[in-house]
Amino acid sequence: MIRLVLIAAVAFGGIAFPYLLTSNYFIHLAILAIIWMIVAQGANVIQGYTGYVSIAQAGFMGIGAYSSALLNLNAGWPVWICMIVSPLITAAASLIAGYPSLRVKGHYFAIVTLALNMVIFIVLVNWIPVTGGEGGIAGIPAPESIRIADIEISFLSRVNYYYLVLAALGLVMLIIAALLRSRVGLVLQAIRQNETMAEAAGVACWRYKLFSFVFSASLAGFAGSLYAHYMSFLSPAPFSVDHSLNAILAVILGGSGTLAGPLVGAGLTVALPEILRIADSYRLIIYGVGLVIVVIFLPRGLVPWLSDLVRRAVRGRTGKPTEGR
Amino acid sequence: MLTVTNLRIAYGGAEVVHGVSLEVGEGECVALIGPNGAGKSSLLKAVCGLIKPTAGNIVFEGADITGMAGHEVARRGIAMCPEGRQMFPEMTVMENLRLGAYRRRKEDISAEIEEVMTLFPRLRERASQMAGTLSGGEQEMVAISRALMAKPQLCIFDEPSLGIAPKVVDEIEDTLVKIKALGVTVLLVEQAVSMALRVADRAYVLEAGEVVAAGTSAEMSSDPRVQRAYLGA
Repeated sequence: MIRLVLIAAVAFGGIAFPYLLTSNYFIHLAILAIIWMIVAQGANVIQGYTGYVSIAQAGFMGIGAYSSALLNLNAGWPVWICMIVSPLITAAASLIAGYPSLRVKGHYFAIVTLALNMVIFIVLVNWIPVTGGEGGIAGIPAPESIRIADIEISFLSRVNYYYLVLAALGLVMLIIAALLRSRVGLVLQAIRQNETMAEAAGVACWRYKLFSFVFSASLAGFAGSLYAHYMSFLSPAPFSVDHSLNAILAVILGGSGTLAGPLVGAGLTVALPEILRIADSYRLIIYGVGLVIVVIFLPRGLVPWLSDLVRRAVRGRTGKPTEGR
Repeated sequence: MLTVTNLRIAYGGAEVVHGVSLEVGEGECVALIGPNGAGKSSLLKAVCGLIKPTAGNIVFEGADITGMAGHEVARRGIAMCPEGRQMFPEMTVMENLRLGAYRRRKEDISAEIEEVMTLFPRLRERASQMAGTLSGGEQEMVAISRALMAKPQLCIFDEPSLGIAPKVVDEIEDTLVKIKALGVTVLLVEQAVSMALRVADRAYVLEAGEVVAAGTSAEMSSDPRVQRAYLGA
């Protein structure tokens, strides 16, 4: 019951946001935050549910962003088609990269993905004829406007683009929720909890791990495409390893292995550095100390901590009459 | 049913199993006993495909399964119930059982669920509880049930009595006898030697990576060396 009310409140807050905070700056931040939430939701599938940390999510976001922009600008494909095709291209790239790297267990996998992100970044910087190098690609169009009953919806408007990414996030979360309820989702969680045991039960773990990796990469690719057609300009900078670490941080901060965790975590990783601007040059120091404190005192993340608090409060209220007897 | 010939296992450069041979026949319950560090667990892991032996071979029902991946071995009908009450702690008892039947995912498993719930009535009460919140003995029951859910031809138990209250050890002994009665072939690794010899038909004694004695359980319990070393006689 509390859960449903919370979900409704968050959904309503998301829909009402552009009317509550009308400044372009806040809407801009909200769009970026939602795009990062999609990346973090993807990271959560491999990291939070399957138990393997991938440090390549920003790299995959880059593959999605550049392939979407290039297919649109060079091949003339409509943006909507590019948004569907670019996650598939990212999935193909992650399949090739994941096949050898998932043969190794635990931390080695993280190291291989870290190297992968570095390779992607180097390619984006140096393959100048295609990616434009550090200079980047400019003039990437927004999605074509759509007509619904004589009303033309243009995605050049920030508010409309906000609703587009919000709908995309909703769709992604529905797909993930369905995945987690399925048998595949159960097996992924089994791998995190006890991989040897899953193997002993007859699960070909590497296949499920590969699926999880490819799925999470394709979500990052999708987010990349949304990013490219929003910003209209791409350079390699947002797709560096630092940003992959931010995605991991978002999952840990919010609460890995929960659906709401990546929302809170990604929201904070985008909002906190902005809010802390008032502290000027101490900004990063405060941010860093805050993160360290959260990781030490709330190792399971903010969402599990908050839900424990709520549960205890509810139990405390209903528990009192029985104590009085 | 299972024939292990001249198996050698090494970790890095250090060999811990020096050419062990053993056999488990259809419907038999065979115990593997011996002290800590004798190589019992390594041997089991090799049979289950969790580690690769350096030499020798393992034949199961006529097929060479040496060095096969763990999930392939499981699909051929060997179920392992590893040491230390291994289960999926953040899943319900029921989900643990469902995952145990993973290799039979396309079949109806309600009859088997019923069967293990009859074997362990306490699991019925705990069906929707997180497995990690159960007591040690109950967790062992989940682990054993999970292995049985696969309907294995051969079921391997690695130290089911380890770290369990003595009263529950008796329950586990009863369970092993019942499992034997169901016609499941059992390979049992135990340090609780007297219990193992009561349950098993035959036994191998493994010491420092080699088989030092083998025979029927009766022969083993009367063997003076076994008595002195393991039965406190």
